[in-house]
Amino acid sequence: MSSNHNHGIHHATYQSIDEEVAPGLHKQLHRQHVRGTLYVWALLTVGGILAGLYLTPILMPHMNSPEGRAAIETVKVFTVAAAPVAALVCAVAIYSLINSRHRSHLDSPPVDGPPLRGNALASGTWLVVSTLLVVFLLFWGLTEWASQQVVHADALQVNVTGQQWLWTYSYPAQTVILPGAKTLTVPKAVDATTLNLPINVPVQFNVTSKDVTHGFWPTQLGIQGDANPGVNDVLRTTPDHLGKFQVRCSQICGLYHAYMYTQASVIPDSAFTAWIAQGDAGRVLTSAKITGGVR
Amino acid sequence: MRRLLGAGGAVLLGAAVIALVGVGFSAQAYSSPRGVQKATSLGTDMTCGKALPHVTLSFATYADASGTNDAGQKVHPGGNPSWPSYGPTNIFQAPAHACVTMHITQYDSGGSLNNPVFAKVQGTIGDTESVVSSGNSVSGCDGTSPLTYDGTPISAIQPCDVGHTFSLRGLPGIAPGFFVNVPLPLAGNAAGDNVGDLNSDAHQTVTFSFIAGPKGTYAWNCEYPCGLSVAGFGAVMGAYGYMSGYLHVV
Amino acid sequence: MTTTQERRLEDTVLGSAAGRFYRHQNFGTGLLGGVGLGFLLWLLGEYTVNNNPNYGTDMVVTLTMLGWVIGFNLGVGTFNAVLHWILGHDQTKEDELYAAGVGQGKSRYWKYCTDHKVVGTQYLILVFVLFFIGGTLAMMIRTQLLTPNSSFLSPQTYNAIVSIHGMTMIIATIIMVSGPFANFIMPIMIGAKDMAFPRLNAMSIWVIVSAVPPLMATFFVGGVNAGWTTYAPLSVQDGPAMVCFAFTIITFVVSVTVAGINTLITVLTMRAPGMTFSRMPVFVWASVIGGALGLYAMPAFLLDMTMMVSDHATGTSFFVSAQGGSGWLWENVFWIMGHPEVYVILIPPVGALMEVLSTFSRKPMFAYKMIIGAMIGIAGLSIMVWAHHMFTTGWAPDLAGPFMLTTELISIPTGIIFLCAIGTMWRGSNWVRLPMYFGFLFIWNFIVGGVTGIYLSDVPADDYFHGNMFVTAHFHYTLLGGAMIAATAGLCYWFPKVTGRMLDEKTGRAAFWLIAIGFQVTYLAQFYEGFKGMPRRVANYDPIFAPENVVSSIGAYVLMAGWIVLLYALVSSWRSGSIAPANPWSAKSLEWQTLTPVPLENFLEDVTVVNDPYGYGERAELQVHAVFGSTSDAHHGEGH
Repeated sequence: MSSNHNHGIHHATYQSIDEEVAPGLHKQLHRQHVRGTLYVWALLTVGGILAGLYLTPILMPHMNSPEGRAAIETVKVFTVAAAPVAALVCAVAIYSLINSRHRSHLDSPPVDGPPLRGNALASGTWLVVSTLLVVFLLFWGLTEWASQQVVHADALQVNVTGQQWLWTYSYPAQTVILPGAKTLTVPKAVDATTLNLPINVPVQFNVTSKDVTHGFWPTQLGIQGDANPGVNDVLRTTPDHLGKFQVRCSQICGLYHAYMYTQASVIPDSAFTAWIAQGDAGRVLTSAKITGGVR
Repeated sequence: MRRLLGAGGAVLLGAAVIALVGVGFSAQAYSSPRGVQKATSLGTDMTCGKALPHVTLSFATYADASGTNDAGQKVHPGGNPSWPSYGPTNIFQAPAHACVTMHITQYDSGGSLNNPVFAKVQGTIGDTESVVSSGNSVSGCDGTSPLTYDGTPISAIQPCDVGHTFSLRGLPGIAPGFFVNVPLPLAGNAAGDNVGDLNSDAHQTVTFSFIAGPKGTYAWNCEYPCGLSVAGFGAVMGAYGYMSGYLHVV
Repeated sequence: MTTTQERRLEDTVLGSAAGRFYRHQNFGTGLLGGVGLGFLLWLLGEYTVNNNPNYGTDMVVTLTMLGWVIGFNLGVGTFNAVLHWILGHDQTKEDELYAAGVGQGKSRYWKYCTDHKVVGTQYLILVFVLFFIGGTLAMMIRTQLLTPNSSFLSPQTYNAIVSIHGMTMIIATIIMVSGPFANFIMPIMIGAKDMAFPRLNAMSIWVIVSAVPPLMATFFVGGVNAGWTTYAPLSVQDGPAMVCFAFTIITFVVSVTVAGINTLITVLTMRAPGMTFSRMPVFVWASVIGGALGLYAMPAFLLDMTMMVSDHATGTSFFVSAQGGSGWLWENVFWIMGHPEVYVILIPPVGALMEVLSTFSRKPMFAYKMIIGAMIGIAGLSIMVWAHHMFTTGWAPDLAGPFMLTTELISIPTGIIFLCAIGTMWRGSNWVRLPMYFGFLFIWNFIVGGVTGIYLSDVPADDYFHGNMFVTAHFHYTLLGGAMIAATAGLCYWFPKVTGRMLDEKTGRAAFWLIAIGFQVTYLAQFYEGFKGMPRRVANYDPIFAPENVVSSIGAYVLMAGWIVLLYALVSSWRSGSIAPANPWSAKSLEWQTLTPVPLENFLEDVTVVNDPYGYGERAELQVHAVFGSTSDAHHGEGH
């Protein structure tokens, strides 16, 4: 039988638990370690909030649609909401680290700490606050998601075909009715290897695949959906900023998955109509020869 | 000190093992290295519509990888002999912004594309290719018998007459918007026919020109499903080097 | 037992039936058996089914893999007891003692051995090997990604490496705590003499060992092209490598199922007298909850892979839409396994970390009941969140809301874990030895991993982040930075008990700093790549992502160096470190109250538990966890 009666270890026992160990809140705040931890907490929270608000738009690309901007806003809001909780955990961990510096060279264990098995106020507060935070995050996310489910009566139909390892787009012959009694016409069906979209026109992507699952990801439109064989996946957005970006494949699809990308741009209506017209002779449209208005 | 030496030695030993594994994988990745075909220069001329340095590349698509071509080069050294393959190499090199003319000799049989849009010629001068047939005896899918072309520039072939395609785009961020797609009509030879002889084996020779993009690596692959399994893109299609390769624009 | 008595017992055991017939069976004969039967079945396949152009090769590979797995296990002796019964004999006491390794010295670690401590050590070695393999593959990946247009690897080889890196790490992280420590430590922690089913225990390690070669074999038959998640129909299109991969999984799930049942039954039925559920250490709870969750989830993986083998080798079309199947079937069944599986990975290490926190803060677990409730809550909720991996697949768009709800709800019990961690540390007598270094690192890493997880749980944000490097960075922060670091804390904590030596702290701390800093650099850079829009699983990338990729690769090299230094510390301390006392941390749980090295049936006297093991700072009678000896001459033993 091994003997663990360690020599000379002093075991602290606390006779009067309540006053010594868990005094009232007022007294707590006067303790130096509690105040110190609170200062660190405040500092880290402010830092987290600032990072969420100001770092996010720098890290993420400029978006060309409301859905894209919603993604940036979500990151900002969620970071701000999570900052106090994360900061509290960090502050206590930092306090414990600092508190340990007297004991770091000990080879045998130090004196026991106070037998704090729980604190109903702390646990209850944590539970309530974290639940409220989660409810808020859900509310934020669900309202944004619901607003993205709105279907515009008339949208530009773009058929997106993914296959190993190229994207192709086709614009079926259509007339799109826009607000203000304007129309946008695609006179004849055209195929394209680049994705051009007219600004401020609702667009509906019908995404499918010829072989395996690909991921249709127009990076700055804030939408994404898989191209599945035998299935039509519908995505909707209304691009509202001019600009160029990429469509990338986001679902590994075999050998040249990394090379499966195309140019994309949001251009003025007139430039779009002129581009579409080049498909009259049955040729497949590319990104070349777009005139006007692309940043 | 001993611990430092021991830990340092362990890191060095670990790095050596990892490096060895790396060499192994890199060698395996290019298990049948076939060299780079550098474009041959033809001087400067107006082939691409303006005065540009003109270069040319020639290669072929074979019904199986077992044979040897007219120049005595193995079609696909170390490759699976029963799989169709481009050859004698799949890696090419051309100067930036040059006018590149490619001659592809197509020996293989074929059928229908998964996506008919790739039966149209795209990204070449005039968006056309010219095809010269030799010795072909199979019919086209609309009944033309045999399927022959006389060299007149054409902008598309029937989507059901395709042997292979040569579809080229830049790596991500390299020449966005650059895309060349050339359909190669079928020629009626099948795997096991051991073709490669320009004099005796039926073939279609496809010629086209395009202006190379800026410096960088470009990847090409075939869009005709000559493989097995799902959509015909398994087996040979997914194995690097048969129906896929690179163009280094330097 | 005197030495003469011991030697006489050994002679009897070695001379028994088992000793005579099975003494030559070990890992080597397993290899022979596996290669032999595999080759035989390969021959059978070549001459019967190989002619079918579509399925022939896959059918031959199926037969070969079947031969390997069965042959290896026959060769190493996994089925010996079963074969005994079939032949009408039961095992004698001497046979059982032989199977438990009596008289075989160090060679029992190479054999089928029913002693849970041997099995635990075998798992530990396997975990080291798997992490080294997975880490080497990671170095291949990061070297390829050092430059945007690298041709170090072809895209096919790169995809194959990415897939096997993922699967190797998944296997390694699933077993990294439940293998070594739920086997070695947990039975001692509950005062038991071994596990409920020692033969199943030995079976689980050898079955999982036989699962590893098929995974490595994939590189030689064309490689797996579809990531570790092997979505169909791409994985149906892939060649015979996918059959090898499927066999790895099928074999692995058999092992994990057997091990999970063993853990559950052991804790339910073999606790020492007096160990009520509320006196059980948190780690035991964590092992049970993780094991139970695995029992629920892993069979879905088995199902998916069986359907995959069928689609490959027999021409069914579960997953090919042109013939009536659906890729979504694969994805749903996969993630029904895949999400609970990450909690199977996470919960046991978190349990181990809780033990470390309590011991090194010299304080009881804060809100013990809430931790248990939180772990059960996480496990329960985790089975209802799987489709958050499928928000962009186009499947059931109307279910986006409900899955967002369940996913965000999980952050409540996960937050409770943090509450209990900081509550345990708060105002403790914080003693920062090497296990606590990893404990602090866990806290930071899991905060980052958890917060980035809530971005991904939001559908509009996920529409940007899905399939890009942000996801990769998130799960590396939670699984590597969280679970694996917590497991490392547990390893450093229990090292003296398992090996009998003290782990060299100086080298361990050097390794810690390399790991901690290398990890942040590697994965913070990958978060940046994701924010910017770089997709994941790509062999080459747009040069606009180049700077952050260089940074990430350098960080990865530093991280790997750190793990190698830690491995060096572990191996050199195991071989020649200072001899450890039985309870170097003065901890209270039962594994620390017995000898080191731990005797054959763990305790030399009967154990009666009187309190929970968290009586730090309490009055004297609450400080004692258990008393030893029969109740008539009970004496207060090891409590502090």
